[in-house]
Amino acid sequence: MNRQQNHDPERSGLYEALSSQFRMPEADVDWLEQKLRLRAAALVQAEEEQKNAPCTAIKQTKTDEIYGFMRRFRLIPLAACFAVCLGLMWTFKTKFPSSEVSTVSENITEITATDTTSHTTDTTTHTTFTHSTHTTTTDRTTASDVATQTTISLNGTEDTVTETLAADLPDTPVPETEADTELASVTLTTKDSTQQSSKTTASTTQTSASEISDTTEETVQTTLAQPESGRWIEVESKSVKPGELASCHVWIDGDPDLEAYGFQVYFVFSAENGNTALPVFTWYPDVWELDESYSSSDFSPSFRGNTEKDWASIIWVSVNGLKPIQERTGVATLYFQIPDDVPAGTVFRIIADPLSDSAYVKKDLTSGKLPVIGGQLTVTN
Amino acid sequence: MAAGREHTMLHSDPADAFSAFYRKHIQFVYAIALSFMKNRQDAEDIAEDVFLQLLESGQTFPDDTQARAWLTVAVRNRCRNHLKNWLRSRRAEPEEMEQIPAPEQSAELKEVMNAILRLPERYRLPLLLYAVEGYSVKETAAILHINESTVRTRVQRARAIIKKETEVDDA
Repeated sequence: MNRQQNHDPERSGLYEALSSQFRMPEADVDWLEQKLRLRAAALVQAEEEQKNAPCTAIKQTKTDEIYGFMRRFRLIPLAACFAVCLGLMWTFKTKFPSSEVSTVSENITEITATDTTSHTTDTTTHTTFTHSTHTTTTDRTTASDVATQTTISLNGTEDTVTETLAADLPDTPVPETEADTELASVTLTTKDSTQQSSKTTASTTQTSASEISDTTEETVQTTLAQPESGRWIEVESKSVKPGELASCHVWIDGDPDLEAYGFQVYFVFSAENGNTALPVFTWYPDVWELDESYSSSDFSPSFRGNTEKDWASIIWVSVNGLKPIQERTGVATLYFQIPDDVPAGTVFRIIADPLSDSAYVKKDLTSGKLPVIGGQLTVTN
Repeated sequence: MAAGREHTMLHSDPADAFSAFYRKHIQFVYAIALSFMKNRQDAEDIAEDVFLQLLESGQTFPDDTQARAWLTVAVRNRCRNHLKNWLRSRRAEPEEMEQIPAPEQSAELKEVMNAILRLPERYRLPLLLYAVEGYSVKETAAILHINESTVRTRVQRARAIIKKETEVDDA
C-alpha cells in the first residue's frame, strides 16, 4: 500500500495488530488477479465485437439509458400508478358519460379541507384526488336547467368548471330527489413511489349525496397519524396479534438544527410480563426504501437478546445516505412478523436513536431507561 | 486528461496498468469490504465486483487519493446492495455474519475487532482507515470527503465507544 503511516501514539499495539486481520491472503490476491485479467481480456474482445455492430450497440445503449434513468429515479412504479389512474379515469368516463354528469356537492370542499390538514406534517407525498359528481335538477320535464359542474380537488386546490349541456341531454325525466341521484366517486390515494408501496383505491358507487362525507372520512382515517409537534422522529405504537405481520411506521421530519447524521432503529424485546422465552421474529427491510438516498449503512441482524438482559438488539439501521437527515422527510415502514406463540401482554419496543450510538442505547436499556424516542407493539389476543 | 497529472492507470500496456492498480489497492478495498460484510468470502466477492466495475467503466484517476475515494464509494455501495439482497433472501443465518474465521486471533484482538465491526459506519470507516490501516488524518479526510477535524472527532468517538463496549462486555 502506498500510504503514509501516521504517527499517532495511540495507533500502536492493538490497532496495529488489527491491520493484519483486515488483509486478504496473498494466495487469494493472486487468484483474484488472474480472474480479473481474464475478465479484462474478455472485455477487450467484447469491445472489438461491439465495434463491428455499431447500430445494435447504439440501440441497446439507448434502451439501457432510458431504463436506467427510470430505475434511478424510481419512475417505474410512478408510471404504473399513472397507467392505473388513466385506466380508472377511462372506465369512469365510459360508465358515466358527460351528459349524465352535473353539479358539485359542497361537501366535497369540506372533505378536501379535512384531508389537507391531515397532511401538514406528514411530509411524504400524499396526494388525494377526489372527483365526485352527481346529478340534480330543478325541472322534471325539461333538461334545459341542468348544468354540469365538476370540482377537482388536489390537496386543497380547487378548480371548478361549469358548463351547460342542455342540448346534449335527452328529453327524459330525471330523478327528483337526491336519494335517487346517481353519484360516482373515484378516490385515489397514492403514496410516494420511492416507498415502493403504492395504494390505489377505486370505488364506484351509487349512493346519495349525504353519504359522501362518510366515504371521505374513511379515506382520511387511513391517513397515518402525525408526529407530535417539534419532534423530528416518531415511532408508531399499536396493538398486534400473535402470528400477525405487523407494520410499524416511523415518521421523519428533518430538522435543520438537528446535528444527527442519521438514525438507527432498534427492535427491543421487553419482558414486562415476565415472559422468559426469547421470541423469534423476522423483519423486512422495507425501511430502506424511505427515499432515493436512503440506505442502510450499518446493521447487525443478530439475535443478541436473552433473558438476563431485558433487551434484544435485533437490528440497527443507520441512515447515512447522500442526503443529510436535516433534509429528510417521510415515512418509513418496518414490518415485523410476530411469532405465533407470543403471550398476550408482551411488548416489543421500537427505538429510533438519533445519536446512532449503539453503545449508549445498550447501556441505557440494560439499566431500564429508554432515552430515545420509540414506539411499541403490544401483543393482544 | 489534465496536463501534469499522473493517472494511476496510465501504462503502456492496459493489462499491466490494471494489475499494478489492483496490487496497489486490493488490500484497501478488501479491508473496507470486510468491515461491511463481516465475512471474508463476501468481502472477496465484493472486491472482485468493484475491480470489475472499474474495468468496465474505464475510469482513470489523477492520483491515489482520488482513486481510493472512488473505490471507497464503490465498495460501500456494493456492500449495501449486497446486504440488502442478503436480508431479502435471508440465505444464511444472521449469526454467521459476525463470524470472521481468522487464525492467530487472541481473545482481546477478536473482541476489539468485533467492536469495530459493530460501530456505525461514520465511526467505523475513519477508525479503520486511520487507526487500523494507518492513513494520515489528511488522507483519511480526502478519501472519505470529510473535514480533518471530523476525522479526528470520529476516531476519538469510535475509540470511546469501543472502550465502553469492551468494558461492558467484561462486566
